[in-house]
Amino acid sequence: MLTAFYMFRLYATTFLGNFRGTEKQSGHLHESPPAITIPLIILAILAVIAGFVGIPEVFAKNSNALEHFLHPVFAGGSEGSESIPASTEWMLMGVSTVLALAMVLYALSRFSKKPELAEPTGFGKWMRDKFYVDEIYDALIVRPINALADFFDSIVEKRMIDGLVNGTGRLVQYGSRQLRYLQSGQVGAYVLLMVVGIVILFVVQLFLRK
Amino acid sequence: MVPVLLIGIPLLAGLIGFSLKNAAAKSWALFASLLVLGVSLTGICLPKNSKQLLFSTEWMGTLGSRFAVSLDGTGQILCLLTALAFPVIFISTWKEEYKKANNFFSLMLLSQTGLLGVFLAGDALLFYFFWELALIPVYFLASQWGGEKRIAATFKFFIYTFLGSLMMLIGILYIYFHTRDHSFALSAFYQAHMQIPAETQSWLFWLIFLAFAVKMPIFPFHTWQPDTYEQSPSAVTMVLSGVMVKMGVFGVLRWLAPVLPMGTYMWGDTVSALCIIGMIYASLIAMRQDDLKRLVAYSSIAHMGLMCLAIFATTEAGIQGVMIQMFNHGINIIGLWIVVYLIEKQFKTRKISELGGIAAKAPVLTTMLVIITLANIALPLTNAFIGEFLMFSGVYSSKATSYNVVFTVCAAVTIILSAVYMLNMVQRVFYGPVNGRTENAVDIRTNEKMVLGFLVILIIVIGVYPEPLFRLTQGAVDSLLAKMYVKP
Repeated sequence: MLTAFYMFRLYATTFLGNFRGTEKQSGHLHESPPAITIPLIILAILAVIAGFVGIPEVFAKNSNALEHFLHPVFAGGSEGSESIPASTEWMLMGVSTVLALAMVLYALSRFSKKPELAEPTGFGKWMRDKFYVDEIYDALIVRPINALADFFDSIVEKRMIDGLVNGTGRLVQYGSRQLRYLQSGQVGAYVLLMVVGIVILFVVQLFLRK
Repeated sequence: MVPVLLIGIPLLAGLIGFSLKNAAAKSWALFASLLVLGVSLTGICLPKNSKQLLFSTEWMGTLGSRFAVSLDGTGQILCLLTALAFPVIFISTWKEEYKKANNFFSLMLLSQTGLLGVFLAGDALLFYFFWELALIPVYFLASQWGGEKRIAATFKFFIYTFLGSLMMLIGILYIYFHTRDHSFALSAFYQAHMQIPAETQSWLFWLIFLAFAVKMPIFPFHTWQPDTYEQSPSAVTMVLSGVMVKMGVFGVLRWLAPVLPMGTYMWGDTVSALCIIGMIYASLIAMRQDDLKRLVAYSSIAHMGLMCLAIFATTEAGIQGVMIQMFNHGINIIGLWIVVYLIEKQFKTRKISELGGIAAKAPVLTTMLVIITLANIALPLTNAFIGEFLMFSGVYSSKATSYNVVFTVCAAVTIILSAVYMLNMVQRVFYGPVNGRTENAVDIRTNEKMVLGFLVILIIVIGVYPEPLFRLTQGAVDSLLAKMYVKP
């Protein structure tokens, strides 16, 4: 029923009624090339034939080619669905055909003259904007991942890890620059350092060793 | 004889190359690399137990080190990759003009010597020797012919990898002193863990693993890589990412996991966690890169992380996947680098934001790139799918860890991320509106079509029929798992 409605709304707004483009565009209207029309014709014929493949029991006994087609797939499942009485089948077919036809007529009469829709509000707007699934997805997944990636790229990678690596290099260079001052060339300073070293060694020998 | 030729040809050709005229050097290098490829293919055609695949002679007798080289399954697949990569690189960058071209091509051949040596060595000292031999030419190549910030980048690269290598040397020496008859032979190293208690193996593991972790690279030892890839000349970047990072994976497969099985099991979870952090981390960073070279660099970190993860799962499927994926990743990433190189050469920029709409002008290049991209994402029918699928199933069925499901799920997230950054790149560089830079784009030349076409054919053939690669590596997988006490 809903399918009948929106398909025929599509048909009515696109193919019926007055042309809504500019003068110039209307001059460009033409039939599609055969590369498009021929496959379409084939598909249309197949669509009609396909409808008769699964023809219900009430029209033609034992001619439903589809009914047993999937049988091998469900083998071992529910064995043989119960057959529906013919009257129920007639009723289901009748009701759905009537409803679908009603929607077709409604769609055609509503949209072939004035195809424009009023700006939807409330529930309609919610549906028009695809229930905001895209926005929710964007907020919940896309943006956090991008933010995380930016954080990794600019902070963790450049500052922390690379900073640590380059920092090691800088520390060595800085340390060497400072240690350089020890090599002053003054013999007195060297002797002093030597004596300090000897004292430290003595302390270690005397007090710290067992 | 085959392994000796594999090492000897590029070594001799490289040394001769230094004395050649600049114009002749290019053809000479291509000739030598094709010769190596021929020898490598001959090696694969020989029966597995052929005497021609082994060579051993006295080298440093007093130290217990021999010049022992052999070609087994793992070595074969990586030698084939190395042998394939160099001609591909030479042909695809054929039009590039280098200053002092003779030195450039000689150093390239010397680095090939080092790489092949690493994959062939059956002696720890020899392995270390070639490991360094592969590093030194690359240092000169990148620092002489690289980009603007090449000195800083190569210095960092050298210190990083050299620190790792020295740690590994200490580790090798420690194991050497614990071998029964003080020998550097691979077989003696495989026996040594009987004499080394578990606690010792635990820290010894890190000494050796550090070298491999830097090389692969594993988070957080990776920061040399994007800088070096960015600053190196394209041909060198292709060698580095296509072949040289595989040295790390290979090292773990041959010189770490079977040598220190206890250490490997003890640290399996830690290393796996690092791999997964690195995979997600690098994928996320790749999403935010504007420079094509850095994007591919980070993508490579993510893919290498998966290989390392699969090794530490120690399952048959996982290890098999790693071996095949090493080869596949080499092919795919060299293909990506060739495309990046062609783009940079034509448009004088690597910034994604400055490119767009190339597809309409260069349909062949675009087609090739899209196939290589799909392979990099590991879509079915491409080579990487085979490898990654095996690795994922290996990690999932791992008995070495109790977090196998968590690991698999986390690692699988990176496939989605890789699709995000790769497809995003394709979209922004090749589709969309053209701009001032890209409106006069021309398609690629015949030599470039040939090389990329060859890689694309390899991608699809291996993706559809990987059986030959399985057969090549099956023996190596079995013997590795036996040494890890997974298989009898």
